[in-house]
Amino acid sequence: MRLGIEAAFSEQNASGGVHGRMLELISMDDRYEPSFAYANTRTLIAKEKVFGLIGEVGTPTSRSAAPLADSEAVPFLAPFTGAGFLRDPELKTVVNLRASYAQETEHMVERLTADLGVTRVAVLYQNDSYGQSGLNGVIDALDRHSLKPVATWYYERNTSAVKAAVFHISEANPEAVIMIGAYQPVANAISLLRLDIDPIFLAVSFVGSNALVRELGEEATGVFITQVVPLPDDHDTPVVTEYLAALQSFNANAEPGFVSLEGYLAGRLAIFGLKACKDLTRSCFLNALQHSQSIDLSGVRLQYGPDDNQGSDDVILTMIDQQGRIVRTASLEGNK
Amino acid sequence: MKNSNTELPYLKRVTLAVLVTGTMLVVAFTQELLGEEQVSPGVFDDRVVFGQSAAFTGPAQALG
Repeated sequence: MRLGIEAAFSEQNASGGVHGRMLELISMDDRYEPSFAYANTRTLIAKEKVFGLIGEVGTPTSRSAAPLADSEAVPFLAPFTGAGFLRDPELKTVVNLRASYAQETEHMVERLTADLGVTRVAVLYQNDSYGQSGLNGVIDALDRHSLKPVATWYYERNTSAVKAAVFHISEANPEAVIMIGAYQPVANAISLLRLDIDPIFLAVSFVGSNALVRELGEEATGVFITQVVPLPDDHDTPVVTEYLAALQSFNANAEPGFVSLEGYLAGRLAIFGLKACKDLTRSCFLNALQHSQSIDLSGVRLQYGPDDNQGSDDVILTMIDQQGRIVRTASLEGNK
Repeated sequence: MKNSNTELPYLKRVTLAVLVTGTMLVVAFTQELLGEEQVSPGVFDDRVVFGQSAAFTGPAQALG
């Protein structure tokens, strides 16, 4: 995320910044742990006195950081999570960019049932608010088809301790496994599950698609991932071309990917809000984002409303092909 | 022996000095408070500063 935000800020700074102001980012490491995220957020607000927070990574971390930002009237822009609680319109300073986990998992279940007639779905999830958010999405989506998961099991955050989950899910012999986790444990689970069963694997966007491909190597072939931003090689979407140019200019060695593209879009969204406020205040910035009829980030269209703090509803189904590329696919049929 | 007629102006001067100093302090403090309300933190003449908390080490560092 940081790479993409910095690429967007650097691109804007090269053309004079916004209203003569250069854009700066102070990033702090929370190791994907809520207690550190809370402490970092408190430091950023109280000590560093930042204008706003942008691109915070993760659900459990955002769960501890967002209420603090909201209580201090600090913009909380484009967190890298699709958790439902951040879509609560009562959070007046939260501006989401991406689709929710509920929308991603609904898309998965829709494709599994419509394309393949799958009825036996298992869920592997991270044992925290991220995993629970995704699990709830799957359960609700299955319920709309009068189905229930055949197995649900968890692993602990920041570990790859998936053997118990693999054992229980294997025993249920599902046709599909939906995975609400990060790339390392998800890769570990796929490798172990494939020793016993041969289901369809699907992961939500937060898994980190490019990192998952690196972790799995040749075993990545055939894994499906839902995405909430365009593909980083989608040259039909102008903002992707702009992202690639900005990334190349900022760091010629950086590999394009979904996460940094989402960070770039977050940076562009911040720039949109800043441009709207010559006399820059937090309230003007938030008002510009929340009350614009429509925001067009060079082909990525965002729409906010009085009770809608989420800009995009787009969910794209992708699959990892035999060359390790992540390619768009409209259907699960014929791809297994 | 001190004359009470000369003590009174002295006390007046001290009281006046205390009042003026106190008033100046209150005015300065109020201006600072008002100033903070008018300009958002993180906004400077030449730059605007955002913050981010994310994983840059550990098993999820590729997402940060």
